[in-house]
Amino acid sequence: MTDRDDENVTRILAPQSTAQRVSRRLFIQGGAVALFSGSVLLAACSSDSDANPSAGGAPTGSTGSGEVEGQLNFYHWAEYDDPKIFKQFTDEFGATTKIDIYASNEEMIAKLNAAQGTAGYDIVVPSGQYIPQMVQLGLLSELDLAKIPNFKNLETQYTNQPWDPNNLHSVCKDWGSTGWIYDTEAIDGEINTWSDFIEAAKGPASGSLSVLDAPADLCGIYFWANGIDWTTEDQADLDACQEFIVNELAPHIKAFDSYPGIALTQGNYALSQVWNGDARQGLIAVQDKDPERYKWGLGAPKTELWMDNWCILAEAENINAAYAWINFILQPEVSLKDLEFHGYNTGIKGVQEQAEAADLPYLDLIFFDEAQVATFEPGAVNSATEKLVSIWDQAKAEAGT
Amino acid sequence: MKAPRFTLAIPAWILFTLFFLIPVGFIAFYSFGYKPFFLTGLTIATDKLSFSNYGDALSGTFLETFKGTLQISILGTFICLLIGFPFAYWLAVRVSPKWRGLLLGLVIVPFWTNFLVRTIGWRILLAPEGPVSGILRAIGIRDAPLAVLDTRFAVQLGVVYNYLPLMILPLFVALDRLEPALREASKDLGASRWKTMRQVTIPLAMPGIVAGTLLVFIPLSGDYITAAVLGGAKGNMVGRMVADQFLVAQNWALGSAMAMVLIGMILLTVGLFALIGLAARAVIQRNRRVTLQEVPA
Repeated sequence: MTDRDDENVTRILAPQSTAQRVSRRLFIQGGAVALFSGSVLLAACSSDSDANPSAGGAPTGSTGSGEVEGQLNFYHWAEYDDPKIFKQFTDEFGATTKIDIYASNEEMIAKLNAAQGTAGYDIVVPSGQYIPQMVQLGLLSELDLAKIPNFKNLETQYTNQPWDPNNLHSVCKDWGSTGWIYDTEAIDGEINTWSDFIEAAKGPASGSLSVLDAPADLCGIYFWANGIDWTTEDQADLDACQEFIVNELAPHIKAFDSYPGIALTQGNYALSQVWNGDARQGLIAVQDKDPERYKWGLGAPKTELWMDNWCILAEAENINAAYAWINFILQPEVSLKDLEFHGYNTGIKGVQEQAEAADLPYLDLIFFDEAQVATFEPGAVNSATEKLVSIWDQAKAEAGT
Repeated sequence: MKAPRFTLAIPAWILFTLFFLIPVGFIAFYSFGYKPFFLTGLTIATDKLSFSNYGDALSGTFLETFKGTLQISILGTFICLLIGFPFAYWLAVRVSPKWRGLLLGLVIVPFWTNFLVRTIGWRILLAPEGPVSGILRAIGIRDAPLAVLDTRFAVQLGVVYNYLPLMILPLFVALDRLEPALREASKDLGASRWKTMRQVTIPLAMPGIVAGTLLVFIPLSGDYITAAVLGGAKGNMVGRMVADQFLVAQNWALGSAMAMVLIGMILLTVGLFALIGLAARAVIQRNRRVTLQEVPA
């Protein structure tokens, strides 16, 4: 998604392979900066905004929408869809796409809320537990599922979720979990649990540790390691979490980075808390050079279950294009192509069999067995959310000292 | 009929009032408010006013970031001056006018590139698996990968690089306007090169030094792109902390208080250095006063 412009700039500074990975990740970080400072980077962050709509190209998607015009504006997570898919969408439907990125749900809601309907986005991809709040804040529009015929392609276990009954506001994009990735050259022992993670963070990985730049995930490290429900609202638990994260863990943190996987080629961190798809993208990037060096582990004994969802914003201007996009990406072949890129289970019927048949790399980072899924806990937005944000805030200040 | 004299300044006054005074006034006001519960849909509440945000902004952890920022900006400005002055002097005095334009152009060239892209360039160079690390290891200076990224040192390096031209340009202008005849006169009167530099060139270049120092120090203190790209968790700066409060934690009240403290910190530092400078000048002038004695008849 952050192709073209930045590639050209960085190509002269680093080998092409490095440049691609490096530049993407940096523009992700920079993206947040750019948004605030007058969107200097919009051009670089946009995807295919220079691609011409294919004039007269007959739409081949299985949708009745036909051609849609204009530009479809995403407010999105980074590296979350194959750039080729955006291109394909533009070729088939005519609408161009542009993407701005965020690093956490809190950040996304904060910015949308502060803009009060003037941010200019059509599509947003919140994690499920944040949807009720976004609805309450009036940020999301109601979906007309009749305009998304491919909705039927989703496995029913991923529809009609408790936080959005009857998919009134959202459609599953994909789901995943959280674990770690570590450099075996820097860390000797195996990391099998969050307690091992913490031990390594305080020991060999101290000073080269990255954690997710998201409050609940950061605090999750403490809760999961100690067998506490990470959606707890108990004040004593929260205080203990604060004490641990701010005073014990933060001094060892090198960076708050939601995308350490795609930065793996830079060798910045010895240990990173990471989402599974991002870890997979990183492992693929380094597999030619150092296939054995980095190891992935799924959080244990408990870890996160999250589901990200396509939503149309209440302020959306290009509603037809937004529906066309959601319907487009729910096609099994498009979904598979996207999964191959981002490495998260898209929940489309038969996608796992197809991925296995296609022999995609690192399938164990995409599809989890039943025993693993049993350890996954969905998150929640509740009375503790404010406290988690404040812990994360203090951890950031503390890590800098 | 003649227009009043201030007519010409009206557009600038309007711009300053609308886009500087009023917003800063709001920020100052918000800094006494508090953060409402985020489901209310409000970004700031001001029905109860208090100083508590200032207490938070100046409490332990955040205070450390203020100290770190002050250190980065003072040191950064000083390094810029140390590198910039000899270069500007060389450019203004030693280089033939034929090449001067070209070299001056080269100083400005980095400005043709986006600030962010320039900073990211350092990230690529300094990566543990990057080219600098590779070279240092190949020639045996280091045996471990370079561990510079995401530290305060990286931010220090980045700000010096990013702000150096802002130091060189005013210094060059000041030194360029300096009459060569003054230096020659100093030499003719028996002063050594070092004495000429100390007693003629530097005092006359002082307006350039002050301008360059302010131009570097003030924006550098509020910079957050460099810290965001190169600093990681360790190289945090106040600018980034303020941005985080507004954009991520969505605590506009605390962010506003931090912004006000930052403004205060910059004003205090500039004021303090101005006082030191004035005092130093007074002392020097007293010691160097030339008393003309009446020639005995």
